[in-house]
Amino acid sequence: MGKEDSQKTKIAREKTPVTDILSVRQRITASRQSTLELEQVQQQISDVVLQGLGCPFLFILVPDDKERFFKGTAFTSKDRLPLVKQAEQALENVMHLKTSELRVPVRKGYSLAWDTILSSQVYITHNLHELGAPQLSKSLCSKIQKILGVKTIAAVPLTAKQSVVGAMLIGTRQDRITEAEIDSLTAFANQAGIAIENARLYMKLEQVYQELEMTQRDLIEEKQQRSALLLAISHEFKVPLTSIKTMGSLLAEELGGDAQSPQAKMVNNIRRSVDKIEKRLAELLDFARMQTSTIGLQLQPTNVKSAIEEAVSLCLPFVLSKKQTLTVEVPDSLPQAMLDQLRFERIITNLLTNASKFTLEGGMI
Amino acid sequence: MEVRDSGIGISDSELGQIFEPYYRGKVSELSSTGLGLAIVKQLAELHQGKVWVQSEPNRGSIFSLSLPLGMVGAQT
Repeated sequence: MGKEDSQKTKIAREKTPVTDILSVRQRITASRQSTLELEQVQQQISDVVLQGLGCPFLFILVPDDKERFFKGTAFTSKDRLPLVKQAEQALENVMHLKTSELRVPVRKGYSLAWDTILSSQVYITHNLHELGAPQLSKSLCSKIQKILGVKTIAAVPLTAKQSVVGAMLIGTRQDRITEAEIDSLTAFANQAGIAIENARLYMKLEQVYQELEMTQRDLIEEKQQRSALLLAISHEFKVPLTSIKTMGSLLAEELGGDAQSPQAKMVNNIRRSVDKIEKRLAELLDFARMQTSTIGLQLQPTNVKSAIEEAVSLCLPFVLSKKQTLTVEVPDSLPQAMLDQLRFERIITNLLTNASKFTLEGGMI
Repeated sequence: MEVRDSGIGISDSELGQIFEPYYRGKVSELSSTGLGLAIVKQLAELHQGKVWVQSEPNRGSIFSLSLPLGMVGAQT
């Protein structure tokens, strides 16, 4: 296995940086089109670094949701997975931490190495502790390095629009990393950084979109519930109201002809109020039905003029009681229109009663 | 179609709200449901039409309604 390994690495290293970068660019572009998931972008990056550039170990750091810390994920080829598992076990034994819990502040001032990386510069070291400090102890870092057999680590910032959006830690078993390798890594890091940034922006957008969708669903549901409640209340009120109304007219009959008696006045008052409530209820009911859209229009050819006249005659008592003047002008030659006559009349009566209500006595409509 | 009145009118700040359900004008009686105009609007829209209003405080209001004739014209 070891032989195969070194052979693969050799072949990979013989590629020129330029073809590397081209293939990398193609892959990243392709990945951006096909999927923008952050995890998948990281996977693509790891494919390029591990297979394309022939680096054995890779640790990708990207900012967390709140963009306060970089959090990392380890990548390696299948055959080296046991080594990574072993290193992660060592981390867990000593620090009681999982790899996903390792974090580095996004802001400068944490350590010399990270300040360098955050200034968009590559940091190369033979000592993992320089990157792991202060969170990880020196002995743990050298233990991990020994388990993996890593001799050199290159920390390459991932940049997008001139700012550092993450980092790749690349571990190799070579004593040094060549200038050409660093060049191709940096070029790749620029592409990778943009891909990561896009994925993160996309995910944020997606999140906002989902929240919006949820709010919208809640609102619609609330509206429907309110209408349903209105319908229920209106129905509940209808029966007792009808009975009050019936009893009221019976009582009026019982009292007989003397309309001026105090009792008759009281009964009349009750009956008028009930009528008012009934009207309001009908209004509420109508509106609730419209909101739940259980009403459909009954469109039929309608004589607009006679519909208007019908509505006007309904409102006339209101208008006259306030001594207002109502002028109706309807052209004689009105075509028929497809209308729901009752609802059309409702529109007119609502507008007319409103006009009457908000106009002083003796006014004009 | 228009309904004009010489009434109290509607202030600019209220004009935008009067077609909202449950909105009651500042001078409106307490017993109203605030649904009248909302119903007008809904019904007009169900007919593919629209309602709008022009008003000047203390001068009066003009409520305008426009509804399509529908398919009758084609039948005759």
